[in-house]
Amino acid sequence: MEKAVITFSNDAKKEILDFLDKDINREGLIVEKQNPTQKALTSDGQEISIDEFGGVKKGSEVFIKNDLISLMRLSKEE
Amino acid sequence: MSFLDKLKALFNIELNAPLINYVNIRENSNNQQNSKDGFYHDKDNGKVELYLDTLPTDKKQGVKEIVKEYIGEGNKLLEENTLKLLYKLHVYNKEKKEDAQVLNFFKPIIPPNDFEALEASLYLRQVFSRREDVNKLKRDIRKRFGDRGNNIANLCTAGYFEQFLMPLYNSSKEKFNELYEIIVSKSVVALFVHSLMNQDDITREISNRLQISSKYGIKFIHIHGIGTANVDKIKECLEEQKNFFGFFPKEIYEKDNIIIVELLLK
Repeated sequence: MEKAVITFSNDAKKEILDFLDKDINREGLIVEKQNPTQKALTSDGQEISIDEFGGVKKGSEVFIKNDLISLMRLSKEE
Repeated sequence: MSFLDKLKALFNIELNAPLINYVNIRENSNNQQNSKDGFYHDKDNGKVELYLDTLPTDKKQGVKEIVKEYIGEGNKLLEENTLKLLYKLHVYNKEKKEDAQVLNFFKPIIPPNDFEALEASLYLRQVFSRREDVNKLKRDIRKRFGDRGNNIANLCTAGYFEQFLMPLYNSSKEKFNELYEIIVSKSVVALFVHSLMNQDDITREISNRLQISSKYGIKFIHIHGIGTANVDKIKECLEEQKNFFGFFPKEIYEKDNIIIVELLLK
C-alpha cells in the first residue's frame, strides 16, 4: 500500500499554522486564531514560538518543538 | 479515498503513476520553471513538491483539507529538517551500544534532567565525531538546561563521564556524591576555552577552579581547546602567563586542532 510522508519547509510555517487555524502573536508564540489568548502547547505543556515550531501530531492539538531534547523524547515514543 | 489519492486527484496525477513517498509543502517556488501550476512531481524519486505561492486558491483549500486529514489519521506533520533529525535519532537509538551502557550506568545515579542532558550530549558527541556541525544541537541543550547542560555537553564530549565519573563512582560512591554536583555545575575539573575568552578569562577561570579543587581534593584541571584560534590562544596563554602556569607540572596533548592541557595540582 502506498504510504507517503508529508512535510513542510521552514518558509511555509505560517501557512501551515493558518491551515491549522493558528496564528502568531506579537511575542512570536503560536496561538488559536479564534482565541488569541489561548496559546498552543507541547505535550509537556510548554508554549511554542514559530521559531521552535517543528510540527504537530494528534489532530493538530499537540505541537512539537524542533530542538534536540524534544525530538529525542519523541524518537523514544515511537 | 486516502489522502494520497485525494492529492493525486487534486493535481491530476495519474492514479497508477510511480509511487509517491514524499510530499513537501513550500511557500516559495523561487520561480522554478516547473512550478507554474503550484506543484512539481519528481517521478524518478517519488516526490511531490507543492508551492503555496503559485497555488490557485481552490487547490490551496484542497491541500489544507489533505493536511488536516493526514494529521487526523494519526500522522505527524513535521518540518522537513525536523523530520531529518528525528530520523537520525531513530537510527542512533537503534545502533547506540556503548552510549547505551553509559546511559544505563548513570540513569539511577544522576538527576533526571542531567540524564536527559547527558543523553542529548552523547548524540551530539557522535555527530561531532563525524565532523558535522553541532552548533544548533549545543544551543538546544544549553537553552533547555542552561549552563549546567552546557557543562554536561562539554564534559560528555571530552569523555569525562566514562573516563572520570564512572571510575569515580565505582571506586567510591561517597566521593562521587561529594564531587558530582561541583563537577557538573561548575565544570571544576575542566575548562573549555571558547572564542569569546581572552587570556585573562582563562587565567581567572583556572583560578576559580583551583580554589574549589583544593577544597575537594581534586588533583588536576584540564584546559580544552578546539580549533586553531582556541588552540593558539591557549598556547599563547601558557607562554605569556608563565608566572601563573609555570607553577604547575603539566602535560600537553595536541592533535588535529585539538589541545588538552593537564595541570597537575599539588
